[in-house]
Amino acid sequence: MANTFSNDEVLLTIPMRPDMELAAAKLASAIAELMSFNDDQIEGIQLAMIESCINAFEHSRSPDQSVVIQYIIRTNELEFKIIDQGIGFNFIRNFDRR
Amino acid sequence: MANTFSNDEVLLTIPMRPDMELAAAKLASVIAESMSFNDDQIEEIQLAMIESCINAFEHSRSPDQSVVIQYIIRTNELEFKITDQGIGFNPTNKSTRRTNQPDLHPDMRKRGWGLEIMNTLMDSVDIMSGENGTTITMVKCKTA
Repeated sequence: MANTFSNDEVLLTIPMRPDMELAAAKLASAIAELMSFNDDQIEGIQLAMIESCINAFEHSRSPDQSVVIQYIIRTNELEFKIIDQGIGFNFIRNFDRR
Repeated sequence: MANTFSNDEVLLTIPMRPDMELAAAKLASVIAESMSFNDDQIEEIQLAMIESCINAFEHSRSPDQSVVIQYIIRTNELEFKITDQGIGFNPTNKSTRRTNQPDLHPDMRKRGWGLEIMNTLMDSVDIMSGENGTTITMVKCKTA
């Protein structure tokens, strides 16, 4: 496993159980704080992370009941990849729904 | 990878870079809070986590420059496994080091207390260390 892990990345795996979305959000907020995002931005990041995790918890039907989150730190931005191994969904249809 | 991940476990990988120990500590505090640990206990958990991560950052010489932390949630306790893939160390050398050096400079006496601090803060601390790395296992009980 040596040298496969990036210096700019934090990797989190959480079980799909209550409150674990808060752990993912709090970790996001800690990283965003270190990067000097402002309070409003940090609040926004936390809300988006919570929504994204709960989506995966409630709808993914993932057999391993876990969510993997990559936090990728760049100079002026923070990227999050929220990954489940569930059944997937048609996100185009979902966006059109409203 | 299906079904290999436990429902009671959170897994974190952080790079060895400044302040990442704070991210690991913050995650520990959220999990401890959701388990209804009290404020003092949560503070102790955070301090022990920071010490343990900084130990790995400063001394492990891990080629992949990362630390993996398992947070294992049990009914009345929280277990942490902090693992690096560094060069390891002999933990028995550490415990006697201070008393063997009465002439140590006062400033140096303030450094190197990480393991002792962790032992005081947590209910148990175990160290497994070898040439393929080090795992420190710390347990905090809810009713100590």
